[in-house]
Amino acid sequence: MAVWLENDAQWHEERMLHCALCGRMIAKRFLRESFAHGDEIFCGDDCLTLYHDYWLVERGPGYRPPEGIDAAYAERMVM
Amino acid sequence: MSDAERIEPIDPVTLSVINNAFVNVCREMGTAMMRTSYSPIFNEGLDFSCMLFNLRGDLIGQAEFCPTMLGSCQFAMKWMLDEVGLDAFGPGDVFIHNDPYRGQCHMPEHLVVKAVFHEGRPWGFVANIAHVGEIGGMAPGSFAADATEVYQEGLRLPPLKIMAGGDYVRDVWRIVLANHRTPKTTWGDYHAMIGSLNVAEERVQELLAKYGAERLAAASEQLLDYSERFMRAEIAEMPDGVYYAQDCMEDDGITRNPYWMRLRLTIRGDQAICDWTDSDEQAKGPINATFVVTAASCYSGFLHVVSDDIPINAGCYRPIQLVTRPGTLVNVKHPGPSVGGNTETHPHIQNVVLRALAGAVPERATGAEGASSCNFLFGGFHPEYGDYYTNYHIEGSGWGGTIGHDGNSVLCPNNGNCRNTPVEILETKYPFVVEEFRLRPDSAGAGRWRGGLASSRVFRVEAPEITVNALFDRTRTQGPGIFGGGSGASSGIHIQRAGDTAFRSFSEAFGTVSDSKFTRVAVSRGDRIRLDSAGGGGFGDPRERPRESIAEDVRQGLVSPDAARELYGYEEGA
Repeated sequence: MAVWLENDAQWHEERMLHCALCGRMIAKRFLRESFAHGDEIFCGDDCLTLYHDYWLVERGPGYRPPEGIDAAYAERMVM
Repeated sequence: MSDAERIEPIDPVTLSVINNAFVNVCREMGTAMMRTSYSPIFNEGLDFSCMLFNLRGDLIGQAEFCPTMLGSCQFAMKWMLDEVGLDAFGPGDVFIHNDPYRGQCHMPEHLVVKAVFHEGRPWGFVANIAHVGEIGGMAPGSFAADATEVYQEGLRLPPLKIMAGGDYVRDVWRIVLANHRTPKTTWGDYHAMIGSLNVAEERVQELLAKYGAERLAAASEQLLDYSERFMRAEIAEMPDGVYYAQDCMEDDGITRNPYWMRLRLTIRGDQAICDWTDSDEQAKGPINATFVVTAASCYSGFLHVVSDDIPINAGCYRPIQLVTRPGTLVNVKHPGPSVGGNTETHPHIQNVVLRALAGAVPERATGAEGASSCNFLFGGFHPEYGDYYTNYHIEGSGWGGTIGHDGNSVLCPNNGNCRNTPVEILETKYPFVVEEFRLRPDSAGAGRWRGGLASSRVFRVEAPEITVNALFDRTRTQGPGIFGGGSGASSGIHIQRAGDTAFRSFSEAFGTVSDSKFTRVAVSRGDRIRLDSAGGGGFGDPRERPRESIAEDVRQGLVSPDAARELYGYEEGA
């Protein structure tokens, strides 16, 4: 169950939070949800939904591009 | 339920009239800006965008300005509202904001915003975002190609009030003007920006008087929803699937290593997922794109292939979702530099979006465009006028061929929509003579529909010393063609020192790390600098190009007889 929270940095502090799905920086309000791999924060409902039905399905938590990714893209790209 | 939601649906004709009114308010802001600004990058280059926002910070009106600003600006606007709050806006107040780590594109882009009040309550916002040509930092013109952190790129402004109730907030102005190299120009340009807001405020007040606040707000909500439905319908027409594309920035000005951006595009029903996770880690130099630049590139890429009839507002962006990793080329993390991400990396990103979309809608595909604005910046003391000057100069490149059309020649890359500065203006204001400005033969990628041609310009230095900076790309890579089309020519920047007989790269002449990205090089009277922009990629097999089209290209000198023979299989007189 996701909960809405606020970035409680003081006005003189810079605390840079990023959405776990789209990666954009979050100015103030964010959604936090707990997963088996840990807590994640999101800039809104759309990103939370997509995290569930795209990211966890297609990529998986902690995904990083593998070696040789450029060749895989070159092979699949319209030329 | 909001007031806007309680209003009855507005008929399509009235909605269309109101949408056009919003567009025209923005156009009139642009005219005010063009006529009153001081710097050529505004009054000739038109490197600015005028917009309207609702109270949530959603874009509700825009006109034909710069796609990178139009697509990204609502992120800066929403950030501003989150950080300072709606209550911070009073009548006559103007806020300013250029911070790439608060939702902005890059440091030179300054957003000014004013709330429009109706019967004592804010109704919405008028806004102008513009590329201020000099904002301090380590390089004249504030385009430091060797910057390694944002603090070297100029004065960073979080959302700040610069006008309060119509009066100057002098402390803010004094800090800004003390940190820009050409404060007189900043003074004039800021006033042009603020003046455009005043024009827009009057026009929105007229609309409020005509339609009423609730009805106008309801219309803007319905337009947002209409644009969303329209965009969803367009995406739903595309075949579901996963489409891939990639491209690279040739270097970052600090090393000679390429940096790759990679898109895994999923079309799923009426939704598009632009997943950039496989892109390279962020660069040390200033070619990184902020998240909002990447978002704007995606939006603009889609707008190139869908119906022209969609009213462009925040609604049409809703079906396009992004996935990025902070700390990569397409989503720079603090304190990485990003000035070139908005001008050079953006068109590359957009080309990647278009290349991925070619898999889904091949009939609307295009060869890549030149994708470099050939950013050339210079500054110094004018030998005649005595004043310190700086200028931000850009060149047009060739665009890609598409079905039925050759690519446009010498047009600002797809992120800018800016204009060329006339030679007469350049020579009048700055100590250069433009010896040559022409189309480059054989710079267009060959194709059934060839790419657009690039340009070549030669500046001769007419001052004892000018400090120059450059941030180009595509000097060692090329914009690829598609479906058998050839690549466009590379760009380049070269110098012929006074007394030399040939042009050389800046690396050869001055030892810069990069041929295309360097800062603070002193050139002298009599030196010649040649800027070559990049050509556009062709579409389709060149051997299928009609013979009469090739003959005409050869007759006009756009394609040489040798290239016609080699690339098109064309023999004159055969």
